[in-house]
Amino acid sequence: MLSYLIAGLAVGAVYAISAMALVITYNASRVFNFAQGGMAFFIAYCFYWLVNDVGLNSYLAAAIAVLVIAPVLGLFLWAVLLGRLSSATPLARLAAMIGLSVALTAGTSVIFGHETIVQPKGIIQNSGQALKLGGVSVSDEQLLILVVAALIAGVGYLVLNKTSAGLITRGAVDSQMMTVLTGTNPGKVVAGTWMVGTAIAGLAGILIMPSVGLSAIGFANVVAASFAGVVIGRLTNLWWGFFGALAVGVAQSVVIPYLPDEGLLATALRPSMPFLFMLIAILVQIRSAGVRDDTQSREVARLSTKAESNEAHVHAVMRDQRGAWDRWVGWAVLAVVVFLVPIVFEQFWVGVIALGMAYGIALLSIRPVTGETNVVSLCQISFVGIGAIAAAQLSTTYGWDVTTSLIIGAVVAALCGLVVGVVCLPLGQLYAAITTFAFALLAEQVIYTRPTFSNNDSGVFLDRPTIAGVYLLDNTQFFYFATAVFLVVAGVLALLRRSTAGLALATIRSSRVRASTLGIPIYRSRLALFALGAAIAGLAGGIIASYQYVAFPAGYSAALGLTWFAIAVAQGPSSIGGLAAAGLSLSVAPALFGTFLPTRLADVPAVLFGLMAIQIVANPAGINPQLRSAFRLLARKLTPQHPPNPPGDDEGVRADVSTNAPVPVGSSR
Amino acid sequence: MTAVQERPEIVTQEVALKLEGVTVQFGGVRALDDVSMQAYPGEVTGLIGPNGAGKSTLLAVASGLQPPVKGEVFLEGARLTGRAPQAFAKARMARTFQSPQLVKDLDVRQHLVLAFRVRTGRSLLSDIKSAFGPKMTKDERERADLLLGSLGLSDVAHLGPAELPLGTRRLVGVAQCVGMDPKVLLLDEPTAGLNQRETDRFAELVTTLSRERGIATVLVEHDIDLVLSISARIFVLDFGKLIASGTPSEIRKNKAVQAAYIGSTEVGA
Ligand SMILES: Nc1ncnc2c1ncn2[C@@H]1O[C@H](COP(=O)(O)OP(=O)(O)OP(=O)(O)O)[C@@H](O)[C@H]1O
Ligand SMILES: [Mg+2]
Repeated sequence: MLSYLIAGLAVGAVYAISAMALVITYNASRVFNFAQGGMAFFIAYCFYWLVNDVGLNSYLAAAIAVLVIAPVLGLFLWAVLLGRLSSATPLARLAAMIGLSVALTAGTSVIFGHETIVQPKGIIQNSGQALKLGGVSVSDEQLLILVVAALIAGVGYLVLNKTSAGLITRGAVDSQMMTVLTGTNPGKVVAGTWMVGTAIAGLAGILIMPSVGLSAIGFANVVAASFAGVVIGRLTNLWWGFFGALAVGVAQSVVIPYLPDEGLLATALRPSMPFLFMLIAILVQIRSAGVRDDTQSREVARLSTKAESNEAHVHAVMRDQRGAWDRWVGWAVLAVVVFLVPIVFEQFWVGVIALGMAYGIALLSIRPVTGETNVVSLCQISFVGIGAIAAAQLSTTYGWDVTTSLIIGAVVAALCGLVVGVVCLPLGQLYAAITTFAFALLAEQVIYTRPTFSNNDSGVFLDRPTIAGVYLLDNTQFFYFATAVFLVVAGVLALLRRSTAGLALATIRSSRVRASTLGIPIYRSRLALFALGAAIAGLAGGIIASYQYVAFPAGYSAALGLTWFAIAVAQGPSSIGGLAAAGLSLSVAPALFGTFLPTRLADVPAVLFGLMAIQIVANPAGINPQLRSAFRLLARKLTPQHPPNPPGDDEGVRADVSTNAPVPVGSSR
Repeated sequence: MTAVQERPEIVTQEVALKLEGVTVQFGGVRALDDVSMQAYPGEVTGLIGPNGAGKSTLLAVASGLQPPVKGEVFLEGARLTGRAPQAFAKARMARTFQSPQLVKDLDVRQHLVLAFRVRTGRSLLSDIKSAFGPKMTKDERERADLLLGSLGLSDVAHLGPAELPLGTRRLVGVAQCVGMDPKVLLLDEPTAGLNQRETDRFAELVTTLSRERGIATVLVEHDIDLVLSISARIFVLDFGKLIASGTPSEIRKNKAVQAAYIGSTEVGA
């Protein structure tokens, strides 16, 4: 028992310092570091490279990685991105951090090569027994982790309680008040916090590396557990976060002797710990005095009002540019594409594009969730996986008709969506992002790994459907099918927006108090939309699996989900054309890279997707609407006599917004 | 209890909004301390007090957004204490906010259309039907334009809130509330940001609307002259306590009120 406790403490200590880094950076900058796993991964890889390729002593390498590379990385990111996020809307802030996470993780693979290093050595290259404690041996490695964590906690305690910089990182005051109180430059404190946060994250990565391996997936557990700590600490409380994460680690370890040898509990309980802890913390917090909703707190509201009014301005200008002919452009492009694709491309590429359309359906699920309700859901990919698994089970194991299985798969995903939504939606945007990501990790480790679903890691067969008597064997036919489904779903979403429900949802999105005093049921509406999103994702999952003839759950990892989210938000989470483009790029970019470029560059598309997500800080509307806007301007210039009032549905006096001005980018107003 | 209820001609009237002994605590701050007030149909009830007196908090209690620690809220005799704001809306209570709280993705007219549809009641079926129908029916459009015209908002009917000045946005909030056809209307500083001419027009409109439609309007305002001129009765808050209530002339003479508004020898003079 004691040995499990010590092992648990050693792992939990790493979680704890990770959680600590998350909390101090959040307190100082009000930016939640979704990229911390990516940072840890990058620093750990640097360490590994310094030891194994450069040949440095491991202690020296650790010192360089943690004390030089990490702070420089933190400072650099602060200068180019993190320092600017305070003026972005909460959604843009989250999207940028998710983009950063994707870009960092993929970038690390591009730089260092993407083979997984299964058993890397840590700081202590040949770990032996350090001491015996009550008859239980403690290894050097465990001792090191415990000492380091205790040191960090101790130093942290002193800094936070004895220095003025500590005030701000404790979340005791906001940065503006800081200037007044102490004359300290808050920018410097924030930059410093990011340097320290990155260093601690990197250290945690190096410390945990020997036990989880050097792969992005291996770091997921650390991320999940530290997120659990952060939720326990209500995002801002350092010590609750620290000890909460520690408790997750200990709990994960001490249950080991009590687990049965096989069955669901044996494999599922430990990976579900972070999620269970989060769930309990959330329930407790809702019961006692409700939850601190970061997106609605006064301070954040003040910070983001300007960003929001900028964004609204951008939308207003774009709405104003819209002409009557405008809506036909998208259809024309679509018609040309549908007509040309099967003629121009070979079967392989038609298949790639068909798959891209299927991904497009999956990404359409982001429109009701993120586009309509502003919920950052990072588990849409899990609903895709669930839909795929359910359809394959029904069709192949139980012998149902494929089309019916696809639809039931969507229903199953919707039910899962309801359950997840019940937990995530009462909370703020950030909580929702954290808990949905935790759910994605949970699904990946608990649901996908069930032997019936994973089928020895080869997945379960799923046939292609027969629609109106046609068995969709041919990629061209499948392309038509996927495009048709995409259009139907897009049509439903467009109708939803123009309905009364659409008006109500727009109100909920802008002002909860206004919506509730208008009598609009908020929780119920958002939950319904979340379930709709899950259903769309589940349907897409079945279609993707049937295109590939296999429901391969490992293909729907939480990390990939971040990439999906990044590209979708970059294109514009409310833009149908943008989501189609995003889906296509998810399929076409890797195919292009895989066909024409060396495998070493296989992760470059993901880096690009991440960077695209980051740029929404400057361009909140998304790439697709921006392109359209540029196109409109061009069309307007080329039209000989453009009417001052394009025949639209309004006759009143025009706004003083110049209709010929390009859409302002970012905060320029 | 209060001076108002002792007035015989008022007791015969039916109370539309009644707050009884409302207390609200924010951490160490007692934002409201045992405050009672009433508002009657067809007239404007003024609610005044210095900054931070608790006026907005009282409106939050009256609209269900802030459940009181102690005290009761009644709408037309029905007890609504502790119910969700949606229940208050259903009982036909409408309110505006100090910050306008408009919808960035809707234009001004759509704000009204939503209010109309909320008023007539929504169902899954009606929502689905609306998806296939026109953006707004002819009738809805006419009603919206009529209402906007009376508030002087015709010119901005097609604009989004981001394109409007703050004062105009507050008026749109008022229009949306009136579109709900309320029995009780709570207005939180609606004229802040309007010029004198607009304020006068607004005062006129609020008085007429209240009288013609029998709306019990509660008006929170810093513009004391406005409140004194159009309110039938006035409640005065200071540091969360009700320090006076009565007709405009009574309030004008009240010593406690004068003390609360340091510097002005006579309120509204
Ligand atoms: N959500 C809240 N949390 C904590 N304190 C609050 C909250 N809302 C209001 N207060 C406090 O309660 C008191 C009353 O505030 P309220 O907004 O009701 O005043 P007000 O009379 O509307 O003032 P103003 O004229 O400035 O609008 C103030 O001291 C305010 O700081
Ligand atoms: Mg107020």
